[in-house]
Amino acid sequence: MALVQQQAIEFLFRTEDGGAVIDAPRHLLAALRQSAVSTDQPKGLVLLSGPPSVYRLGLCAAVDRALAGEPVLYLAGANVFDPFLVGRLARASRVASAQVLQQIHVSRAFTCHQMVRLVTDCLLSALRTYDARFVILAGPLDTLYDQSVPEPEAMRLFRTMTEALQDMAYQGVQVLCVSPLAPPESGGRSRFMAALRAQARRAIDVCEAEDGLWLHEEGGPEPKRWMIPRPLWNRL
Amino acid sequence: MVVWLVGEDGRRIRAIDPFVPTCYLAAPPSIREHVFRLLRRASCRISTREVERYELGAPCPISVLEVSVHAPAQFSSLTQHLIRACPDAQFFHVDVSLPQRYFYDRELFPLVHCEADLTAEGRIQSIQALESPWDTDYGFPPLTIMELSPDSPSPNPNHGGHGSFVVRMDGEERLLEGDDADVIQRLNQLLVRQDPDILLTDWGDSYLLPRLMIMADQLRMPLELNRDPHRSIGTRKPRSYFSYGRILSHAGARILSGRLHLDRHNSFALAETGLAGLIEQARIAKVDLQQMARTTTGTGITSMQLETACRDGLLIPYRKQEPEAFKSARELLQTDQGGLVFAPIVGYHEQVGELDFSSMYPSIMVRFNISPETINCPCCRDEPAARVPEIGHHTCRHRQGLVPRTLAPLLDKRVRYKRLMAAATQPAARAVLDQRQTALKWLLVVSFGYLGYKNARFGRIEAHESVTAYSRDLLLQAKEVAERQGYRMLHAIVDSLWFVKPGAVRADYNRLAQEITERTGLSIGLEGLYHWIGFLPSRVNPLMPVPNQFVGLFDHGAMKIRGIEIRRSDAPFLVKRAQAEVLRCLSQARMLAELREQIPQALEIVRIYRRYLHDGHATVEELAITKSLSKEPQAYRHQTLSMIAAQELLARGVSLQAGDTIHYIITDADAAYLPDRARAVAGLDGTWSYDVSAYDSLLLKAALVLLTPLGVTATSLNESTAGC
Amino acid sequence: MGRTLATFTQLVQQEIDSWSRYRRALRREDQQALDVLFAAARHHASAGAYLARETPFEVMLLSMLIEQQKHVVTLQQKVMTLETRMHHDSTQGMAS
Ligand SMILES: [Zn+2]
Repeated sequence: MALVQQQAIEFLFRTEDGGAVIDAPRHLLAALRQSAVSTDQPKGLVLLSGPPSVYRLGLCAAVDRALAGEPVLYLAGANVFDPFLVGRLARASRVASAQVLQQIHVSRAFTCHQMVRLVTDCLLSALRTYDARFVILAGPLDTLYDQSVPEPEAMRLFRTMTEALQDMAYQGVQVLCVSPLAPPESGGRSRFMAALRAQARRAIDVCEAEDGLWLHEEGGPEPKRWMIPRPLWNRL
Repeated sequence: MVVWLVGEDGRRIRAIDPFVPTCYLAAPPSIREHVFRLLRRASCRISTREVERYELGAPCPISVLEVSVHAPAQFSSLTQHLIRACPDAQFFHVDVSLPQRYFYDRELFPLVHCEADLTAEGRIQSIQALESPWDTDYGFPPLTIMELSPDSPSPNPNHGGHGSFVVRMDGEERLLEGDDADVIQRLNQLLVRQDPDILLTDWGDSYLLPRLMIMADQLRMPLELNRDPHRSIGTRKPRSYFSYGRILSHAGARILSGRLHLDRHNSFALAETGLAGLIEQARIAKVDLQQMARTTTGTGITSMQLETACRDGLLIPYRKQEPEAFKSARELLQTDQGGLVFAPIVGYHEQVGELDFSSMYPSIMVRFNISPETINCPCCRDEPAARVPEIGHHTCRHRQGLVPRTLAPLLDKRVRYKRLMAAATQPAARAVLDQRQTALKWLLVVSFGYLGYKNARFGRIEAHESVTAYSRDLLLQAKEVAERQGYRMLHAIVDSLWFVKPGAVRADYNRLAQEITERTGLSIGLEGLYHWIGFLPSRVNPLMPVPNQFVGLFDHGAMKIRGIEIRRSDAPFLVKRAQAEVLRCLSQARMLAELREQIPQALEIVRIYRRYLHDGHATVEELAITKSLSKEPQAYRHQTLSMIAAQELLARGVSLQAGDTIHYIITDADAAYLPDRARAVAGLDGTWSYDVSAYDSLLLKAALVLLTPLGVTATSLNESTAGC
Repeated sequence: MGRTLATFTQLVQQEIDSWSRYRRALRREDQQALDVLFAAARHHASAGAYLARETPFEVMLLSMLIEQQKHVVTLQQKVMTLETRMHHDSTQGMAS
């Protein structure tokens, strides 16, 4: 079911140090797909981390796929999901938002045990059921910060989860992890973030500035930067 | 298991019941081998066998290893060891407290009237209950109570103001004075001579008992707090931790053996439902009294569900792992809703009726059979009658679920208590019945939260969603029935509705309630008829309606008040008293026209209070503001008044954690030097003064919220009540 | 358990915030009118929540219209009452 085929775009503006400026709202999704949250190269984990606004970027990626008629699995680990953003993005693309909402399949995990079970046991069958190849993990680490679960236990669960994710990525499933930075209360568990980063094929850092949202990627032949201007971001 | 019995002859007997707790585990053979190796090394007798057991809602049983531990004292450490050593095995029945397991297994409960066969050495040969926990006509158990309190002027002795100890028993009061050795010696004498069953304290957990234990320790003297000489005093340190974005905190505890220690300042159940209510909860939840006093009401409702599961032979999983089934974002949008709240029509209205669905959420669970295993069952997918309104779920029409089975007798017992209350002639008897029904009300209130709660044993998000979907549908049905009969809905919150119709009297509202009950199949009753009720505007933005903020005068003379200072713990006593007086003045009126005539008198009350403040007469007790710390005091970034007071306490060496309550007065809200703005009440000396204008503005706000809908503005209030 | 989605009341607040620049550039009397409109949206939050639509702004607009419509009816009734009274007064005046 192809709803709308996004056009590839040329970036009209560049930042002083050569980064791309994602300017027009109708280009945002395509630009994100092409650059920052690229999902065109299968295999491997992409990690998007930064302030809580990363959740919205993750959802943008989900909508982009759903607009292209592709089913998306959205695993909410931090009890965050914004169907109203989906509604606005769909409307901007002149597509009935109900159709887009139907393409995104959500499951929420409220404990780390549920989160890990979701990834290890439920995800594969859901991928088959919905014929999906694209998974978004929103806040995969949040439940692991719960101090009522002992740290060694949380570590073991973290390993189980990431192993399952890697397996899936090698089978051709595209996995996008969106994760806010570890809160100060997470203590020693903040290292989960570094460990997740080490596992990722691409790691993109997001930071908020006066002028907009900056996306930054190390690695590859040269570091890459993108910028989403504040007025555009605020309109989402 | 050590069981303390009170004989018919009044003797207190320490008996031993040879109870063998069991746990279960499911694992592949390789892991089982490992388990057997570990069990062979255990220091107590352990027996195992292969059995088949069901998980909740599972169509077929699974094969599990049953492990029986013949030394209950070692059960917990042994199972914890197994869990750590075999993370990939699935464990069952491992983390239910042993007293609860014992009660379920023997069909007993705390303070039960029972018959026991004992050997000469005190071993229990047989024990059985002579009453049911569902009985309503049991008396207060024959237990003696000794009260122990600090003799301190401070609202919390932990925050300063150390004093001596006061002991009360049989109406006699004794002050324990002298040096530490005298105090310990006197207390020990009293404990041995009086041998109380219950030690009822103020601040026993956090202050009194810890202090006494340190004193006795330093003097190397014994402390006779425990009746059981074989056990030491159970100690739990206060702690707070980060869980799902929130700081959770537990106060410390001092648990006695052979005697019950209850701390009035560390017990939700005791504060909300009194001793009679606490006992009622312990009896039906089968949770040991000292634990029930200190735990959340949720532990009680969970225990009731666990008992149902045990009775049915179901496995109790160690960690709940089942995540939510995938739903489309569109379905999530429909299902992720709470109960309906209709914003009130702001202002005062007369002859208003309030109708309440009694125990709405638990009644929905029972009536529509909502339970984790009944939601979206495979057998009733195509039955229209099984559909939950608005959302795509359905519930089972064939088998009653675990949650409804647990809640039905609870609902029934509360109805029986309420009937007994209505018939009771003695005020004392009615008060006890009221405490017991309140205790049941709390269990029912939390039962809903535990249907979807992340750590609930038998929770499932779809069950939670179904309950709120039914509640929305029922509220709208009630609205439709009433509107068809010409009533106007003024306000509605989830399960309560306020209606008005010109000329409607009590009989009309009762008839309306009956019709809604018939239409919905869920019992709704007339909570009361108001002469008048005022739905009050927001103080931040007068245009915005605020739910659940009102004052109403019932036709029987009582008032119902929600959401304003008088009901808030953080308002100073002086402000509450002023507001209460204004309300008493307004309650002279029976009709709206009369209400307006009361305004000059109400303004005079405000004027007198303002004068009192300005003249500097207000006392610490009248000015103290109580706040509970929502974060660790070190973690605050903004210098709020409560934070300034907390810093002062910290600087004096008081230890504070999130969840603690502190008391302070405003000394100079605008002072440039922050510590000058507020002072902690504990340890206030004579050198303080209060910020008249800060308290004055609190006072004006408390009056204005009541008077605005009657046409009084901030300016007119200020001008008409200023000066002398 | 915390809700996953924003409540309708929160959505109204978000909408109000998103119009803050617009509001700032309005005259005082127009700002007050705008505030009354958003209060109408808040007032019907229960209906908005129950509808659960992914494009909440149009739901808010309709809520505002409902309150406008009620105002129109109230004013119509007042006008009618006044007209009747005036008519009555003038015929009375002519008769005397
Ligand atoms: Zn069924």
